[in-house]
Amino acid sequence: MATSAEARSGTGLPALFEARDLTRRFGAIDALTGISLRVGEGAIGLIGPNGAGKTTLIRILLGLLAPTSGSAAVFGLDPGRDGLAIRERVGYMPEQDCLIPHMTGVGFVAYMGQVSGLPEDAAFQRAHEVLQFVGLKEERYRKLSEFSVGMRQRVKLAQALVHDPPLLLLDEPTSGLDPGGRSGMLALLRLLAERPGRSLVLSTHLLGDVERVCDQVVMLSNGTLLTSGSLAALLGSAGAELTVKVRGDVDAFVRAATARGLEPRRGTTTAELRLPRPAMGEEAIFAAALESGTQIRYLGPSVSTMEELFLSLVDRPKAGATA
Amino acid sequence: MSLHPPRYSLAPPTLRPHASRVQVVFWATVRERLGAMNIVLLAFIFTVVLLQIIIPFYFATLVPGLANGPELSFFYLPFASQVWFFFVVLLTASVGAGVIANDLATRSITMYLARPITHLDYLVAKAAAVAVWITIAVVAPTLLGTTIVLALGYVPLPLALQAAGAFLGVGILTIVAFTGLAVLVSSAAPKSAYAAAAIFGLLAGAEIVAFVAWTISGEPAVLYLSVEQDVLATAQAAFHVPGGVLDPTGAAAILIALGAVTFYLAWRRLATIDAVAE
Repeated sequence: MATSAEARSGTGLPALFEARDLTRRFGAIDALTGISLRVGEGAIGLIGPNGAGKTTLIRILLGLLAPTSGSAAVFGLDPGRDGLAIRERVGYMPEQDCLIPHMTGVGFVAYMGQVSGLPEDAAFQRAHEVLQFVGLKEERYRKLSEFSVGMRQRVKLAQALVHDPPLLLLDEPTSGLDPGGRSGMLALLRLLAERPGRSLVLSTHLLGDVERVCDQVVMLSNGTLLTSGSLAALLGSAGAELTVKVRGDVDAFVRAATARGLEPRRGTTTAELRLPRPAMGEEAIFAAALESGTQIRYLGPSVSTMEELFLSLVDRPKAGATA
Repeated sequence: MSLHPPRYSLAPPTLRPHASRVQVVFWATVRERLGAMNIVLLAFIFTVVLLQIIIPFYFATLVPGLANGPELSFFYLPFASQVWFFFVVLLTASVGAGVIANDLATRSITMYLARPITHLDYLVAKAAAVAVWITIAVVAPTLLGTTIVLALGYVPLPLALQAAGAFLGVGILTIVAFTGLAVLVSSAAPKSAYAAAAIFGLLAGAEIVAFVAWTISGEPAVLYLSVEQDVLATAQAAFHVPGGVLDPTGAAAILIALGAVTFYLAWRRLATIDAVAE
């Protein structure tokens, strides 16, 4: 499985984090069930609906929660034994509002840097720099209790960045932001993702955010791994199935296509068909249409977006799983 | 919005060792508790304690032969008046209530525990900060008062040193018990206001309950339930004041055990907190 995931990501890089048959139960509830994956450096989207197990996975990776069974590793370190060493190298941006309200922006970010081990002068210098980066240069001396939702999100990003960690764990960073704020935050994340030697994990249920920022994805649903790997590769492999919309005698087209070795099946409407991408090329589809006297009104990959990919995998959880 | 990644102008620093991170949290918490109310309470405490230490020796000087000159038991007066104790309880509630409860209420505890410190580090830093404040209220004024009466020539040096040792010993027991109780209540309360009420109730209320129970039952052992009575019992022994109804060794053991058990329970409580909540 690990090899499969790595091969699908196509990175071949040392694992940023990995899990082997990772399971975590809370009483009768299985938060994670037998997760096995291996993720290399880069921008990774950790996606899934609420309750998918994203936060549980983050807690385990940070060394704040022990798995019920299985194992995990971050930078090759065991989170259970080397949690402090891992947290030195990770910047975590939580989803919920958890700032210290009476502190100023720069005071808070510098304080968090110092708790991560930065000397005081370096912590303050970096606090100023990261607050400028996230667009809070003018507001850095205001108390956090006076900050808007968007500003709070940016401060949370700044405190995760202040000690310049090689890995950022960002939990729903665009939560609560208006469209403008969301776009700005995603632009920041994209810049961060492009830094060499730096990785980020974007945990979200907003698939569009992942498409804009990430080059790898880990998809979870109900505590199980749907798939993981390179975003381009996943969308590419998902695009192996084509959707054809036909005008005219659909049955005649189906017969003609079947005679040419294609395997069309009915889609969501009577005029819509789905079929594997023909090995001999898409000309076979047009030839079948010509032969049956029908018109091709649409021809394209059945899955072209993360959302479609995710929904297709949720519908077929076992087929899409890399385990 | 600026759209440039941070350009760190300092070379990547070597991260400071683990202990220094705990110190950062400790000092930040000490400063955070520096509120106007706590300053006022400390002013009351210093005033009360200094007056209660200096005045008996002053009158002993004015009236030669009074109580056969200065004695160690003169230093017991701050304990006997109970005013000092009341203000120390108030200060403990004021300082200790929010020390963890505020972090839980704002969920900023997430920010601490997702960093390279453990639950125990966090608790030690917070407890040490509370202990500093209680030390300022319990040990500092007594040592200052002792120094003043020594400087004024009211007491000889050996007696002053003996008193300072007694104040320090009783003070440490008080700090241990009060700090443990404060951090436990603060870690268990959903709001700092509730924690303050609970700390005050457990420290001051227990005295009333124990005293009433003793009056009704006539059994002095129930006084062990009161932290104040335990402190008084150890202070009576330390300052050679006769007439105590409790065994000072037992009372001291209770204070130490109270501090240790409450600290342990606070640690267990913190370990159950989800730093990264769903």
